[in-house]
Amino acid sequence: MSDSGSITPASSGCGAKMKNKIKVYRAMHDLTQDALAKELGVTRQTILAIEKGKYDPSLELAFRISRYFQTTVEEIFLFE
Amino acid sequence: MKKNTFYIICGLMAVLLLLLFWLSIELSSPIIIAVSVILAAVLFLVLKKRVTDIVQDERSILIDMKTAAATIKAAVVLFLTVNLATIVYVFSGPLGFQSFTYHRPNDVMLPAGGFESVSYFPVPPETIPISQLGLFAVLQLIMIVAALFIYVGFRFYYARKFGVWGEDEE
Repeated sequence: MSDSGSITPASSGCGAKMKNKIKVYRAMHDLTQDALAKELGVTRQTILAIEKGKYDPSLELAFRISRYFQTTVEEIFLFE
Repeated sequence: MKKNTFYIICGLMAVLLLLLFWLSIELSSPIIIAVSVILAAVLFLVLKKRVTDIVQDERSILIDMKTAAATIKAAVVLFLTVNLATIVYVFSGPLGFQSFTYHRPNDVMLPAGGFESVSYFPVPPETIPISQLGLFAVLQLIMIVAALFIYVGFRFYYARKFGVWGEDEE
Protein backbone atom coordinates (compact mmCIF):
# COMPACT_ATOMS: atom_id res chain seq x y z
CA MET A 1 0.00 0.00 0.00
CA SER A 2 2.75 2.41 0.88
CA ASP A 3 5.00 1.26 -1.93
CA SER A 4 6.67 4.48 -3.02
CA GLY A 5 7.81 2.89 -6.28
CA SER A 6 4.25 2.76 -7.58
CA ILE A 7 3.41 6.30 -6.58
CA THR A 8 3.36 8.57 -9.57
CA PRO A 9 4.17 12.28 -9.33
CA ALA A 10 2.48 15.13 -11.13
CA SER A 11 3.97 18.56 -11.29
CA SER A 12 2.01 21.49 -9.94
CA GLY A 13 2.53 25.19 -10.36
CA CYS A 14 4.28 25.83 -7.04
CA GLY A 15 7.04 23.26 -7.39
CA ALA A 16 5.37 20.69 -5.15
CA LYS A 17 4.29 17.39 -6.57
CA MET A 18 1.08 15.45 -6.40
CA LYS A 19 1.45 11.72 -6.16
CA ASN A 20 -1.22 9.09 -6.31
CA LYS A 21 -1.78 5.41 -5.75
CA ILE A 22 -4.63 4.84 -8.17
CA LYS A 23 -2.76 2.13 -10.01
CA VAL A 24 -2.24 0.23 -6.77
CA TYR A 25 -5.88 0.50 -5.79
CA ARG A 26 -6.95 -0.45 -9.29
CA ALA A 27 -4.82 -3.58 -9.10
CA MET A 28 -6.23 -4.39 -5.67
CA HIS A 29 -9.75 -4.17 -7.04
CA ASP A 30 -8.76 -5.98 -10.25
CA LEU A 31 -10.00 -3.12 -12.41
CA THR A 32 -8.89 -2.05 -15.84
CA GLN A 33 -8.41 1.63 -16.64
CA ASP A 34 -11.42 1.45 -18.93
CA ALA A 35 -13.64 -0.08 -16.26
CA LEU A 36 -12.61 2.48 -13.67
CA ALA A 37 -13.13 5.29 -16.18
CA LYS A 38 -16.66 4.08 -16.90
CA GLU A 39 -17.43 3.84 -13.20
CA LEU A 40 -16.26 7.43 -12.67
CA GLY A 41 -17.77 8.85 -15.88
CA VAL A 42 -14.47 9.94 -17.39
CA THR A 43 -12.38 8.76 -20.31
CA ARG A 44 -9.76 6.04 -20.05
CA GLN A 45 -7.16 8.58 -21.14
CA THR A 46 -7.96 10.66 -18.07
CA ILE A 47 -7.31 7.72 -15.74
CA LEU A 48 -4.11 7.00 -17.64
CA ALA A 49 -3.01 10.65 -17.42
CA ILE A 50 -3.70 10.77 -13.67
CA GLU A 51 -1.83 7.52 -13.07
CA LYS A 52 1.16 8.71 -15.04
CA GLY A 53 1.16 12.00 -13.16
CA LYS A 54 0.48 14.12 -16.22
CA TYR A 55 -2.81 15.46 -14.97
CA ASP A 56 -3.98 16.47 -11.51
CA PRO A 57 -7.68 15.70 -11.12
CA SER A 58 -10.15 18.21 -9.77
CA LEU A 59 -11.13 18.01 -6.13
CA GLU A 60 -14.49 16.55 -7.14
CA LEU A 61 -12.93 13.76 -9.20
CA ALA A 62 -10.39 13.07 -6.46
CA PHE A 63 -13.22 12.59 -3.97
CA ARG A 64 -15.14 10.41 -6.44
CA ILE A 65 -12.07 8.21 -6.89
CA SER A 66 -11.46 7.86 -3.17
CA ARG A 67 -15.14 7.22 -2.50
CA TYR A 68 -15.19 4.54 -5.18
CA PHE A 69 -12.26 2.76 -3.51
CA GLN A 70 -13.90 3.35 -0.11
CA THR A 71 -10.95 5.20 1.32
CA THR A 72 -9.88 8.77 1.99
CA VAL A 73 -8.49 11.28 -0.48
CA GLU A 74 -5.28 11.53 1.56
CA GLU A 75 -4.74 7.80 1.25
CA ILE A 76 -4.79 7.92 -2.55
CA PHE A 77 -3.39 11.38 -3.23
CA LEU A 78 -0.29 12.75 -1.56
CA PHE A 79 0.88 16.33 -1.88
CA GLU A 80 4.62 16.60 -1.37
CA MET B 1 -26.19 10.17 -33.06
CA LYS B 2 -22.88 8.32 -33.09
CA LYS B 3 -19.69 10.34 -33.00
CA ASN B 4 -18.44 8.81 -36.26
CA THR B 5 -21.60 10.02 -38.02
CA PHE B 6 -20.99 13.44 -36.50
CA TYR B 7 -17.40 13.53 -37.77
CA ILE B 8 -18.51 12.47 -41.29
CA ILE B 9 -21.14 15.24 -41.34
CA CYS B 10 -18.51 17.76 -40.17
CA GLY B 11 -16.20 16.67 -42.99
CA LEU B 12 -18.99 17.03 -45.54
CA MET B 13 -19.83 20.45 -44.14
CA ALA B 14 -16.20 21.54 -44.51
CA VAL B 15 -16.13 20.40 -48.14
CA LEU B 16 -19.46 22.13 -48.79
CA LEU B 17 -18.14 25.34 -47.22
CA LEU B 18 -15.10 25.23 -49.50
CA LEU B 19 -17.37 24.81 -52.53
CA LEU B 20 -19.56 27.70 -51.37
CA PHE B 21 -16.44 29.80 -50.83
CA TRP B 22 -15.41 29.09 -54.41
CA LEU B 23 -18.95 29.83 -55.63
CA SER B 24 -18.97 33.04 -53.66
CA ILE B 25 -15.79 34.17 -55.40
CA GLU B 26 -17.06 33.11 -58.82
CA LEU B 27 -20.33 35.01 -58.38
CA SER B 28 -18.63 37.92 -56.59
CA SER B 29 -21.18 37.55 -53.81
CA PRO B 30 -19.75 37.71 -50.27
CA ILE B 31 -23.18 37.11 -48.74
CA ILE B 32 -23.10 33.45 -49.83
CA ILE B 33 -20.04 32.50 -47.78
CA ALA B 34 -20.98 34.83 -44.89
CA VAL B 35 -24.42 33.25 -44.42
CA SER B 36 -23.03 29.75 -45.02
CA VAL B 37 -20.42 30.07 -42.28
CA ILE B 38 -23.01 31.25 -39.76
CA LEU B 39 -25.41 28.44 -40.71
CA ALA B 40 -22.58 25.88 -40.53
CA ALA B 41 -21.60 27.08 -37.06
CA VAL B 42 -25.19 26.81 -35.81
CA LEU B 43 -25.61 23.37 -37.41
CA PHE B 44 -22.32 22.23 -35.85
CA LEU B 45 -23.45 23.24 -32.36
CA VAL B 46 -26.89 21.61 -32.80
CA LEU B 47 -25.38 18.36 -34.09
CA LYS B 48 -22.73 18.30 -31.36
CA LYS B 49 -25.42 18.34 -28.69
CA ARG B 50 -27.07 15.31 -30.30
CA VAL B 51 -23.95 13.14 -30.16
CA THR B 52 -24.45 10.51 -27.48
CA ASP B 53 -21.20 8.56 -27.32
CA ILE B 54 -18.62 11.30 -26.79
CA VAL B 55 -17.41 11.38 -23.18
CA GLN B 56 -16.25 14.90 -22.39
CA ASP B 57 -14.65 14.96 -18.98
CA GLU B 58 -12.74 17.60 -17.04
CA ARG B 59 -9.40 16.84 -18.71
CA SER B 60 -10.76 17.20 -22.25
CA ILE B 61 -12.53 20.43 -21.22
CA LEU B 62 -9.24 21.69 -19.76
CA ILE B 63 -7.45 20.87 -23.03
CA ASP B 64 -10.18 22.71 -24.98
CA MET B 65 -9.93 25.76 -22.74
CA LYS B 66 -6.13 25.92 -22.75
CA THR B 67 -6.04 25.50 -26.54
CA ALA B 68 -8.66 28.21 -27.10
CA ALA B 69 -6.92 30.68 -24.77
CA ALA B 70 -3.48 30.09 -26.30
CA THR B 71 -4.88 30.34 -29.85
CA ILE B 72 -6.61 33.63 -29.06
CA LYS B 73 -3.40 35.06 -27.57
CA ALA B 74 -1.31 34.01 -30.56
CA ALA B 75 -3.98 35.17 -33.03
CA VAL B 76 -4.16 38.61 -31.39
CA VAL B 77 -0.39 39.01 -31.83
CA LEU B 78 -0.65 37.78 -35.43
CA PHE B 79 -3.55 40.05 -36.29
CA LEU B 80 -1.90 43.04 -34.59
CA THR B 81 1.29 42.44 -36.57
CA VAL B 82 -0.55 42.17 -39.87
CA ASN B 83 -2.75 45.15 -39.06
CA LEU B 84 0.23 47.37 -38.25
CA ALA B 85 2.07 46.22 -41.37
CA THR B 86 -1.04 46.92 -43.44
CA ILE B 87 -1.39 50.40 -41.94
CA VAL B 88 2.24 51.18 -42.76
CA TYR B 89 1.72 49.84 -46.29
CA VAL B 90 -1.34 52.01 -46.87
CA PHE B 91 0.21 55.08 -45.26
CA SER B 92 3.32 54.77 -47.41
CA GLY B 93 1.27 55.56 -50.53
CA PRO B 94 -1.21 58.26 -51.41
CA LEU B 95 -4.21 57.97 -49.10
CA GLY B 96 -6.74 59.05 -51.67
CA PHE B 97 -7.78 62.18 -49.83
CA GLN B 98 -8.22 64.95 -52.37
CA SER B 99 -5.99 67.87 -51.62
CA PHE B 100 -7.88 70.96 -50.81
CA THR B 101 -7.07 74.50 -49.90
CA TYR B 102 -9.26 76.66 -47.84
CA HIS B 103 -9.51 80.35 -48.56
CA ARG B 104 -10.89 82.66 -45.99
CA PRO B 105 -13.58 84.97 -47.37
CA ASN B 106 -11.47 88.03 -46.61
CA ASP B 107 -8.40 86.58 -48.25
CA VAL B 108 -7.07 89.04 -50.78
CA MET B 109 -5.05 86.45 -52.67
CA LEU B 110 -7.90 85.11 -54.72
CA PRO B 111 -6.98 82.85 -57.61
CA ALA B 112 -7.93 83.95 -61.06
CA GLY B 113 -10.42 81.11 -61.51
CA GLY B 114 -12.12 81.64 -58.16
CA PHE B 115 -12.12 79.23 -55.19
CA GLU B 116 -11.00 75.67 -55.63
CA SER B 117 -13.57 72.99 -55.06
CA VAL B 118 -13.28 71.55 -51.59
CA SER B 119 -13.85 67.88 -50.87
CA TYR B 120 -13.53 66.78 -47.30
CA PHE B 121 -14.13 63.08 -47.90
CA PRO B 122 -12.35 60.74 -50.26
CA VAL B 123 -14.31 59.30 -53.13
CA PRO B 124 -14.27 55.53 -52.52
CA PRO B 125 -13.09 54.26 -55.92
CA GLU B 126 -10.15 56.61 -55.86
CA THR B 127 -8.96 55.83 -52.35
CA ILE B 128 -7.33 52.46 -52.99
CA PRO B 129 -6.59 51.12 -56.44
CA ILE B 130 -8.55 47.93 -57.06
CA SER B 131 -5.37 46.08 -58.11
CA GLN B 132 -4.01 46.39 -54.56
CA LEU B 133 -7.05 44.82 -52.90
CA GLY B 134 -5.93 41.33 -53.94
CA LEU B 135 -2.99 41.64 -51.56
CA PHE B 136 -5.34 42.12 -48.63
CA ALA B 137 -7.43 39.11 -49.65
CA VAL B 138 -4.29 36.99 -49.74
CA LEU B 139 -3.27 38.34 -46.33
CA GLN B 140 -6.69 37.44 -44.92
CA LEU B 141 -6.36 33.92 -46.32
CA ILE B 142 -2.89 33.55 -44.81
CA MET B 143 -4.20 34.70 -41.42
CA ILE B 144 -7.09 32.21 -41.49
CA VAL B 145 -4.77 29.34 -42.39
CA ALA B 146 -2.21 30.49 -39.81
CA ALA B 147 -4.91 30.62 -37.11
CA LEU B 148 -5.96 27.07 -38.01
CA PHE B 149 -2.37 25.83 -37.81
CA ILE B 150 -1.87 27.63 -34.49
CA TYR B 151 -5.02 25.98 -33.10
CA VAL B 152 -3.96 22.51 -34.24
CA GLY B 153 -0.44 23.07 -32.90
CA PHE B 154 -1.64 24.11 -29.46
CA ARG B 155 -4.17 21.27 -29.47
CA PHE B 156 -1.37 18.75 -30.00
CA TYR B 157 0.79 20.48 -27.40
CA TYR B 158 -1.80 20.47 -24.62
CA ALA B 159 -3.13 17.03 -25.50
CA ARG B 160 0.41 15.72 -25.19
CA LYS B 161 1.06 17.72 -22.02
CA PHE B 162 -1.97 16.25 -20.30
CA GLY B 163 -1.20 12.76 -21.42
CA VAL B 164 -3.44 11.79 -24.31
CA TRP B 165 -0.69 9.90 -26.06
CA GLY B 166 0.67 8.22 -22.97
CA GLU B 167 1.19 4.51 -23.32
CA ASP B 168 -1.33 2.23 -21.76
CA GLU B 169 0.36 0.21 -19.05
CA GLU B 170 -2.49 -2.15 -18.28
